[in-house]
Amino acid sequence: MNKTDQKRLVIVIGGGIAGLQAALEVASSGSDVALVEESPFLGGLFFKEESLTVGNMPALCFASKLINQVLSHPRIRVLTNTKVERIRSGDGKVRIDVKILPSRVNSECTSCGECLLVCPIKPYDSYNEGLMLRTAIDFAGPRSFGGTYNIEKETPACQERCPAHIDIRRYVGLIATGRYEEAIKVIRERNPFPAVCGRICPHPCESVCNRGRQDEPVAIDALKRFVSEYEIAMRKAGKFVPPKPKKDRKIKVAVVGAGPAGLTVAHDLALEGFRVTVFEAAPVPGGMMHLGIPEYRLPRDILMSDVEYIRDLGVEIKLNTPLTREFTVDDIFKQGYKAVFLGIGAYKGLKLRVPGEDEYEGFLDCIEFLKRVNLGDKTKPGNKVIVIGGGNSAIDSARTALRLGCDEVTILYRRSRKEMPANPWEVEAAEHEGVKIHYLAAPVKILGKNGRVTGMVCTKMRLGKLDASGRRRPIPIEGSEFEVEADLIIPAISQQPDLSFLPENHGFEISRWNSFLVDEATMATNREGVYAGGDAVTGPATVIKAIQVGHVAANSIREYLSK
Amino acid sequence: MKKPKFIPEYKDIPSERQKMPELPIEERKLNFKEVELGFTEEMALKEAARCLSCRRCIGCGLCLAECDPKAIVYDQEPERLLLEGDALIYTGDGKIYNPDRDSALGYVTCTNVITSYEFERLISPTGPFGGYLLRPSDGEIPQSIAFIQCIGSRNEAIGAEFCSVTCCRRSLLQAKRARQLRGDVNVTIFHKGLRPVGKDGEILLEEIAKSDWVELIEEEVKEVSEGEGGSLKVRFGDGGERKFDLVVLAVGIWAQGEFRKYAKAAGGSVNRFGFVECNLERLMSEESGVAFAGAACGPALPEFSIVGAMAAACLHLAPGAQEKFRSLSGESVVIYGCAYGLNSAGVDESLVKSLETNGFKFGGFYSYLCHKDGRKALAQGLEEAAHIVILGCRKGSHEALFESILNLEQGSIAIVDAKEINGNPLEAVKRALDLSQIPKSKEKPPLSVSIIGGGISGLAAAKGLLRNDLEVHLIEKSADIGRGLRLAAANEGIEQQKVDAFIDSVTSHPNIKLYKNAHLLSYRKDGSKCILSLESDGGEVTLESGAVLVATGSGRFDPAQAGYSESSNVLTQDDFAELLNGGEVKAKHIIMIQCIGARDGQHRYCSRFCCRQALQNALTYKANVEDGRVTIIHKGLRLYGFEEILLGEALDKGIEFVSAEGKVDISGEGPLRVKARSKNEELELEGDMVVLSVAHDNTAIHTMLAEKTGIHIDDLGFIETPEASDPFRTSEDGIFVCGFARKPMVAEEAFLDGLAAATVVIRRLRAG
Repeated sequence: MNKTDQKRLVIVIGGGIAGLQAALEVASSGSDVALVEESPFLGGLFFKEESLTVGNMPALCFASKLINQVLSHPRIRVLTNTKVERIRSGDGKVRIDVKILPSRVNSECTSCGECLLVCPIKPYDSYNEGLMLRTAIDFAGPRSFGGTYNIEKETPACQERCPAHIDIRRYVGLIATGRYEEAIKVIRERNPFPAVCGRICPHPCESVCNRGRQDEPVAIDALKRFVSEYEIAMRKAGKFVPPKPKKDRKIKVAVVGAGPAGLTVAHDLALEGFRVTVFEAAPVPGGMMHLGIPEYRLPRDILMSDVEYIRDLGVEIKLNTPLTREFTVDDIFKQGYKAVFLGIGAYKGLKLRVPGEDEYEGFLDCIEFLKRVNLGDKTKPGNKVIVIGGGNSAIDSARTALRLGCDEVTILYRRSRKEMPANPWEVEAAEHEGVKIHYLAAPVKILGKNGRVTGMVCTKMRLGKLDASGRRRPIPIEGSEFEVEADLIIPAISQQPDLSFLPENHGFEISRWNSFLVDEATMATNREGVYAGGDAVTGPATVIKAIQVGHVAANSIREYLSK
Repeated sequence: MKKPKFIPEYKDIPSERQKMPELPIEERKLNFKEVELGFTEEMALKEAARCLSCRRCIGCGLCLAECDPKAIVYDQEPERLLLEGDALIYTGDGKIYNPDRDSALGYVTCTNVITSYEFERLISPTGPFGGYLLRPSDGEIPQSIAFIQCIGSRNEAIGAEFCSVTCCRRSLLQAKRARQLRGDVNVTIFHKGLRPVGKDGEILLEEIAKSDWVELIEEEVKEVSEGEGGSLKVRFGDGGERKFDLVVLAVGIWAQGEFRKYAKAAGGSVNRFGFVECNLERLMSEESGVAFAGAACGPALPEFSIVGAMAAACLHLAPGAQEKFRSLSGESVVIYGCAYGLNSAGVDESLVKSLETNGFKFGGFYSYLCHKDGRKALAQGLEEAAHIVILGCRKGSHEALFESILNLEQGSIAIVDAKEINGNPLEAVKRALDLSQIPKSKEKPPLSVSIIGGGISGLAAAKGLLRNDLEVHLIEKSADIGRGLRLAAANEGIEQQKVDAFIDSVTSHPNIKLYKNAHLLSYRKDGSKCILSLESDGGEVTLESGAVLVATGSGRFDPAQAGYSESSNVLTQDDFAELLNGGEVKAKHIIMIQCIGARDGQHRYCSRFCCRQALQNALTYKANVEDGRVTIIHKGLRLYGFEEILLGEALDKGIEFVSAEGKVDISGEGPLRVKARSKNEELELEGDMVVLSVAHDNTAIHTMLAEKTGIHIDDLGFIETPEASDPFRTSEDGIFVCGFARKPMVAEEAFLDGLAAATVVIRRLRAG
């Protein structure tokens, strides 16, 4: 017909009245127009205004008229909720990369407004400059005829921050409306240890909670604990049916270590229909959750209920079955397992590296100490106890010692309270219970008599510049040495995986911190079919982090075995 | 947006975090009993209710359950797209200045201190109080409201030495509305010199200033603080103090960070406040693939945003698309049925469908033709056919609706009520078609335009029309095309060459014909043709074109009428500018008198260009004559937008400003004595040159045009444009107006006005 038959497109950015008018003019001339607006709605700032006018028409009405013309124009494509990410121009063309955020309302919408009446979420109405509330379903402007609806549902900060990426907002919302069973299901989608995490998770989610900016963050962790207990009660009453695993794939997978990482892998793979066997060195399942965390923080029946849940999926846990030089990874493969996950944890306490530490009795690494107590030895280990370190294990050791009847428990930490890695609420509880904390002090020499520890020489410290960990580096103050008395010293400075079980020709790549080197995207080690995760890879970390890693590993094992 | 504390609700959300019950300390010895005891159900419910859901959807499913068409998709994913366009028009919005940072204003701490945008929503029928004027803290009726002007604008301390243009006008209008809503409310406006932008701005200001319920205080506000019961204490000037029920901060508009990105993509730049440079120089050289409009170029009134948008569109219209549009001659009719209307009246759809056998095209049934999909279908129908008949819709209310949303320049629409069908749809449709009086055929107008006036807007319009392949007859009364543009460009300091190159690109275009030394003899309309006869360069010419565009620009008031006689040392700003160009000013004290022939009772508008011109001339003079002195006598300066920068420079250079009322008298011959009266004193100055800022007056030309063409002149003496949404259309079909002939404006506005008018004329002519 004529030269306009070749499609011509003009991009208009900005959905205010200028953009609307420009789009209409260009489209009326026969061009196609893409109208790009970053917010969910057209109209711009003048769409809020009635005082300023165009001729004798309030700006709002004028904008409303333009919006309706634009929305009905067959040659204008309206892209609201659309962000321009990049602009390029060349050879007579303008190219823009855009990201269209979902409005979650499709073209079937008849603008009846029923949804607005039932939505329970009441955010501030930004169209009305925050003077009133709207609903999570947004509708800018007067609703005289038609318009654009938009549901805001982006990932909230808490979910973003959670290593396991649990849809926190959803389960908290469900709890608020009394729908506990649905809430626990939401948690279980991402976390096989809701009861455990409900008690001991350091809940990074709460630190980013937006409510915290107003007053205090929502007690997310306590809410998780509440619904997990609801689930336990339901299970006891036989009212809870665990999910059915998928069809049996008849493929065997071995998991070494029944800690949070290993059991998460087992949980995920069992649901996928794999036959999973867990080899556990200790006489109890749970790993550090059992051997490290004291009972006053995590009662054993609670822990066991989460473990039972996984057992119920068909996972076999073989206790007292450590890997040794006689029972190796190769032996596991020989037994017909197609893949192995190594979640052996980090149980080897680091040395203080001060004179005298190997000479005397009464010197016990925190992991050894906690393990002994947690396996049932509740004898009083000494009278005057010194714990060295500032992490959660140090606090756990100190509070445990108090519970065993020790007269005086002191924590020695080389930095100040601010730099302490332990959860602040745990530190507070420890002090509350009577633990003394000596900040800015470090051991210099262990003192002993007759083969037993009698005390320690310490030095005072001061803080220097920031170091690699982002904390201020402690520097000894010369000549500030002092002596303390003690009959039990518990170093709690850090742990590494204990790899002594590996035969010489194990073939794994090992880091200089004695941990397994893996591809972080898949958790695969350099040996085919062997994956690793948890503290065995990261060094001491949290349960929730181990769960996240477990999900990653389980997913790549599934993909590996589906090939 | 106002801070959350502003909301008096969230009553159902507990504010305190639930405390975790714990094992008493004395029970923790010698056992491993759990310390933290967990929430009870009651506590859990309370705590969970504290979650704000981050003000987002939790996917609870309640709305989906209510949604009949199941239009909600919770798990919709974001989508990425590459758009490839032939051109880009950028019209991003500015951002509202957030007054948080100045704690003295009390915006953060006092609930009843709000911004002008919040006030706008506060009194809106769709706002929080359903259109009543109530104050936010307690819903009480405010008796006294204070407006504080220039928050976030005209403030060097925060890097905002520009005027946000719209705020003074907005506050005046808001004050007026507040008074309409509550007949007993009193208003105080704290300002730094009000600048009521707009053609009728001065009239508005005058009206409000003389009302007994308004007080204008030209003082700086020092502090706003909350007193008893939510009332507010405003401290201002030297020890002034007042109490108010509500304080409105007239906040300015700032640039978005992304303006810079787009300016860069267009090969342009931003000014020091982050707005895209859209000055005259840039406009004349505008050839890039990116055009700008709206707040990207600076804060502006909505009507100016629209003009800017039309101007930007002019650069990117589809080439010669006239064939795409059908004229009404090839009359075709498409029938649509509204399923809702038909069904509720019990009309069988097949009865409507039977019309197809009578030779009508059938567009389809839509559940609601007035909703999204229906409207789109109707618009599509209008692309294909000249006439649309809707069956089963409601007359009256919906006719107006469709008229407002559909582009009926290309066709028309008729509605048949469901009950009118009465078993015989054919008869009903015929009746509707008869009643709608569609012209049976219409001749297409020629694609040519006669522009009257070769000034800034005339040349810009010519440029826009030529660019889009129309023919142009450019009619200029003098021998010099582009004099107005050259003058303005010289004031702006733009190189003469650039201006000449632009003028040349228009005047030497093959599709333009120039008529100099011309004056209009007569005008008549013949069908769709506009016929002008002229006398040009001594000969008589008759021009046929599809439209006439009046771009007669600005005229100058004769100062003699105000009692000023021009002489060698009493001259106008225009003459002074030429003198400065020649570089031969010897006078040591220049006295400028503003508003001669403006804002004086007879001329009730501000001419817009004179304050800028005075400052530009004063600054040029100061640059030439270092020890020269300039005094500007004014009635309140009217400097909008980035013109504020000139004021800053002028103050830096020691230019003096005197505010005066009434007539300024000049006497003496050698040294001139200038007598001015301000509010409470009389002032006498002695200078050796007086420069008169004479205002616009083009009444003679407008009257002549009105007599010869029949267009109307408005109350202020400008050519009337009756349609608000089409600011270029005069009362006569086929005659359009742009630039100063329709309202006062500055040079770059006139340029945009010309381009925008070109867009409108092109649309009109192509539609036929």
